[in-house]
Amino acid sequence: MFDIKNLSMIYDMDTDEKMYALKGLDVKFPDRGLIGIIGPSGSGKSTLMYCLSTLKKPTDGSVVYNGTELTTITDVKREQLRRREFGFVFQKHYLVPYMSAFDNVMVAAVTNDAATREKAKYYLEQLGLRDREIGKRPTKLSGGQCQRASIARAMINDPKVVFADEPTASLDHQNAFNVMRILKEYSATRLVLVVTHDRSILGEADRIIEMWDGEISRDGGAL
Amino acid sequence: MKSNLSAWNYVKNNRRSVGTMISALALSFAVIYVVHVLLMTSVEGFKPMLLEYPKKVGFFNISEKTLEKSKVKGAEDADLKEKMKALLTKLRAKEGVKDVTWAQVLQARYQAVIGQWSEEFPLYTETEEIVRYLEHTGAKLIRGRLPESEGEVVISSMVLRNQKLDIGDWFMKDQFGETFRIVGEVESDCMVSAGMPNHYYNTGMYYVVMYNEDNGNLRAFLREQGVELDAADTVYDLPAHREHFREDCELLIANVVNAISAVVLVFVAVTILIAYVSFLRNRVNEFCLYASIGYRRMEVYGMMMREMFIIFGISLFFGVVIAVPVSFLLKELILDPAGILAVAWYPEQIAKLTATLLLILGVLQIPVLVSIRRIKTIDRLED
Repeated sequence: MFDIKNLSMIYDMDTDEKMYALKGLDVKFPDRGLIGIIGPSGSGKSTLMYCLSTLKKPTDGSVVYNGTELTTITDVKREQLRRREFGFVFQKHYLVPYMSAFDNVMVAAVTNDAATREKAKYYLEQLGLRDREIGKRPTKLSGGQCQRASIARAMINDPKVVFADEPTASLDHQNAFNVMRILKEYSATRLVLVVTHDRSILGEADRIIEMWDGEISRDGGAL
Repeated sequence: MKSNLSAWNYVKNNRRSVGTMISALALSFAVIYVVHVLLMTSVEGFKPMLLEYPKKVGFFNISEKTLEKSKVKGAEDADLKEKMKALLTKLRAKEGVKDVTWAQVLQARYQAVIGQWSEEFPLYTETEEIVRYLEHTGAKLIRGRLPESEGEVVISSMVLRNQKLDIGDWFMKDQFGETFRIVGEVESDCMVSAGMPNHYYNTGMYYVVMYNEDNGNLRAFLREQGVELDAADTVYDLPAHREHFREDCELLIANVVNAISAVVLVFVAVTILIAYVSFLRNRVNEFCLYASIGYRRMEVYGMMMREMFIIFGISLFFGVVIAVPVSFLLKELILDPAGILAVAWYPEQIAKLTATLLLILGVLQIPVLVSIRRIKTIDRLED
């Protein structure tokens, strides 16, 4: 699905002290499976995820997604990809504060029919939100519930790839494993990339990539 | 691909802030409209006196000095009395003139919210002349009786209410003491009054010209007849009244209304602009989220526009719903009983205010467009 070659990302390009977030990465990702990208803060794992998801444009190198070179496509195509084929879970939940959890999921949907609404409800319930919590606004939900709603939002269009940046950061142990179980189920037919520094949640990962200082230090199977 | 960026989401889920904005806009709309209705009483009230009454009656008074120096056609070398008679004869022969009489003249004062006007009315020595005059002007006695002896007057209902007078009261007591008494009330579209002179005061002898049609240019007639008018002469005719109406009522009031509206609207626009910029700042993360999950900027802009149209549409609706009934109540409960002519329904003012609201909407595009341009994706927020 993803074929990444010589991928580099340099911050502060115009200054003398260039900061390499990614240094010539070469890696491939399949169409399905749960892949964990692990590493300490500043290792470049989030930057890699942003480059793959078109949110960031790399300084150099190539990202080919299903035969399409993502570094050179137009903004419109980039937006279409993010809308139709990618799902996002960010470090913070970024729920719209004035909308209910349900509306926050639906806002990302590409359709608004009954089936989609049912699906939004199903995902929210699967992620542990009870019926009465689905209609509540983020301010009335716990941090964990908000994060779970943001995961449902990421999955509502059945994207081919889910990018999850620290998806369990604000969850307790039990909820974290529930979320990972859902993502694992989802990865049976789709690709799920989970960026984290918490090794314990990657027990069921199909593959783990360890990053250090902008480079892949280890690319192997599950823990 | 359907956009699920619904404008209703923001409107229905932010009732307090949206309600504040709608209230501010609707109340501003209503205040400007009601102020307009109030100020326009000065136009509406003077309209019958300045535009309708002079179509039926004109007055002029020429000084002896003017008559002496004037070469009145057909009576160039005649004495004053003959010159006056010659003018009277020619006026009576003039096309469209029904009758011309001599009479003393009083003035009935009408006070609007801003400004006042005094309308001339004749004092005849015979009741029959009063009857003829009232018939000509379309006035009807609705209460009391016609003047029968000196110093008695019948006054139009509107002036009675306006000046808080009634039958039995002394008319213009401040000027003439207890010498003109109101004996009747007449209903008239152009606030017509009439009466009889008294022997205490000579209020001045005027030609009273009753027209059959709208041709009351007395100044032109007098010029044609060789009368050279000067500042001491008084001519109340249709062109002079029209000019007064245009300059002293329409333009003046229009300027006052426009100035007040402009001040209020600028204040409202600035307030809303500041409030709106604050709303937008609070929504930065939301816009970034939309951009990150693949919404185009134009879709976000479209949502903002729909939100604004909903807010402005509701404001406009409530503005009209508040302004018009309040104006009608104001008219029925305060202005009419006070004898102040008012109109509560000004569709052109509604249209003007709607256009102004749209202009404010246009101004609000600036912060919206700036916000849209500044939309980032979430990765940049997290860097």
